[in-house]
Amino acid sequence: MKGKNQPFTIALAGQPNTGKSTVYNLLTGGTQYVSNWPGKTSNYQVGHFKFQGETIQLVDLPGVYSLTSGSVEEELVRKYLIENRPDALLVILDAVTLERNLYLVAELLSLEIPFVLVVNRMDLAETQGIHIEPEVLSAALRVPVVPLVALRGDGVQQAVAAAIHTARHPSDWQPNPPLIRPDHQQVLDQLDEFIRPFVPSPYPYKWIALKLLEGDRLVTETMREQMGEEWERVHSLLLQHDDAFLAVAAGRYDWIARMVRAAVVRPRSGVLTITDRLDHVATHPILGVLSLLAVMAGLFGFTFGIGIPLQGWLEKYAVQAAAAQVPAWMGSAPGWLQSLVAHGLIGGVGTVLTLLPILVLFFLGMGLLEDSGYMARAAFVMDRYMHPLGLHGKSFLPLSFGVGCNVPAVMESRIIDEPKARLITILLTPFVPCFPRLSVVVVLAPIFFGQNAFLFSLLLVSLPLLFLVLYGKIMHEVFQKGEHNAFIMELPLYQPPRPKAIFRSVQGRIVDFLKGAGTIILVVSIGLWALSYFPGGEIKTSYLSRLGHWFDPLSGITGLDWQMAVALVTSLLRSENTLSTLSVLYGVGADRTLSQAMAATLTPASGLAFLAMQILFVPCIATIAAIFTETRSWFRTLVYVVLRLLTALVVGALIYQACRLLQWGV
Amino acid sequence: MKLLHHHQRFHGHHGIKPSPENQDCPASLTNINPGQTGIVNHLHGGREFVDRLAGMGFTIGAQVIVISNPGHGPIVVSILGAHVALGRQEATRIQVMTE
Repeated sequence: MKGKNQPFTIALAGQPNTGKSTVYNLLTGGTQYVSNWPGKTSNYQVGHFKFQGETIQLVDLPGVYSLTSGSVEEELVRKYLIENRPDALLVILDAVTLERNLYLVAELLSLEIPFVLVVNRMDLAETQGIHIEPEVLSAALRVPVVPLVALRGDGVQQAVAAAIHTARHPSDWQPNPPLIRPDHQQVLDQLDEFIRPFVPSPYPYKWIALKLLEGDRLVTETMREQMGEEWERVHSLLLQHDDAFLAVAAGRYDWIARMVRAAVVRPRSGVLTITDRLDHVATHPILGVLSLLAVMAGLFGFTFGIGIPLQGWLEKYAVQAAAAQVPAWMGSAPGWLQSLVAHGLIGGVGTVLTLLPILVLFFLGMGLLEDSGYMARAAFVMDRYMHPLGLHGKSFLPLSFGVGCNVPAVMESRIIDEPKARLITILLTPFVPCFPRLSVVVVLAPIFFGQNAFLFSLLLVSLPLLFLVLYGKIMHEVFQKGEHNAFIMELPLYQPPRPKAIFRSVQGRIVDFLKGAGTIILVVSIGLWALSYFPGGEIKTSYLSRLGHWFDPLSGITGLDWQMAVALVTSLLRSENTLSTLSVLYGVGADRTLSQAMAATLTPASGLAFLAMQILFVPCIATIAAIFTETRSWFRTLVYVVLRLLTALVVGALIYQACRLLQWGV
Repeated sequence: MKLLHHHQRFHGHHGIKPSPENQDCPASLTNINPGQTGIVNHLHGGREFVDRLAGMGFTIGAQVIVISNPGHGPIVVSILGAHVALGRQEATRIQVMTE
């Protein structure tokens, strides 16, 4: 029994896409991401709300199709339900997929936690000719069934009241469970006898027995461990009923059929919904890819067409203007402090600030794609091309947007549920060269390669993509050897995008970015400033330049001079810094341009090596921060940084040496 | 969007109990053309695969309507009111009976 001090706990359960998060937000007024495709909430959220003077704890569980041990989400839900045992459940059903949604309900029954069913989207179902009678369903199931009127709160309050009532009157909880075949029942009884002394609390015996019969991997392993020698009896009993799982699943659907017989009427198949019509194109192997490219071109244009000018505007009128004011504000302060504020502080904040327009626009676009349901089709269409790299169809979007800016692209990897595929996506996305890096190539190529600038630019751009594929294949082999994740994916119905839901998701992601990356960027900015300022107040004599000079002995191998080395280091803060640092260090001014300065002292071979290193180099700190935020692992982030560093240096050196060997451009 | 007047109720086995006797042509889902319907006869595969399929609605006796089947690559079907995309390998492991 719960102590008086513990709040009443209700958990929200249901298959993916049934609208649990909507209910959660309705009750708690929360700002959870509400998304239109499976797998989004992969951890559980806890919130509170007041009901009739009492504080109720509400737990939003991730959507799962069933309670097998197939995925991280399913295991999480199982664990939560058994170990935390909420007082009641609100199981959310989507009227359009009611029968299938009841499959989870069938599983939940064996956990013996009282629940109330909430039916969502009945209005949408009506337009498709699906008619549902909640009272009839309730009578058949012997469980309260409450229709939810979307956007308004009515049904929800009713459901909560019913849930609390049911939990407080456990003797009233007499649901109508699936029938078990007599021979299976015999086996279950026998299993129950064998396993009782060994079942770890608080797992229910009946549930464990049923899961053993079904051949659940996790339960089988756990019980085998717990029982030691005694396991043999159980094992041989189970072997005799090896195919029970097919029958158990079929039995659940039989139950569902009986329950809905009088309560649900569907139109004869042949009704073409908008989703069907759109999917004829969207999932077509050729048209689907073409329409995806079109959609992405549109999104790309929108995000970067508006974002980059906005970024430039902010850079000029907010950041640089503020920096220019520093001497006026801090006239009496020592030189180094003024520089710290102007360059370290304002520069760092400026980096974060100027990224915001692109991030907001990008997340808006992604939110639109997700909420409308199109994202699932995009993932579907690209899946076959992504698998050889250890990626998912869903990886394609983050990857392709990396061209504009790696930061939102890395953050977008969240849409991938499978942990290994997500990790690989996070690590491969920053190989895609972003605009600032590309612009360095565009600006410097003509200096070194003259007429052949375009050709060499193409070559340089393909370098990181080559490594993307190479490392992708390696990671696929190493991390996913022999794994075959069955490709079964639900394509949710298309729906008109919901502005509120989209804004919430944008807000959530921006906050995440600021929390995660903001501090790191500021720290690195100040650190880099310090290195480039002290001891003399000038970059040429600074520690940073001394660091650059350490590489002088290596310049015979790498083809880099110290100015290029320093430029690479400063690019860690922002890729845009490369060109500006080079300008400063080569003494660009009124009398000579960067082209003149560099052409005078550097050979094409040097230039090629440098540009190769630059485009392969460690990503900017904002990207590294994003990688850390998404992987939550210092170790992995560090390993990745080292990998990028080594790749860049080795490739650059090899290119330079090859040039010397071939006597080209030296 | 057309609404036909003939309504139907969800019968778990669609009134027919699949068995070896009335199996005219055991085909897999990949042999079904867009617009056609198949009734699931058998599921070939390990526990985890079958469990995943069950959660999505694929069970013996389930009615599956093929929406997209370009002959290679993944297929899209309609089952229990939802659209589900399946890899080709996965689809070949779902044995169906055509109506």
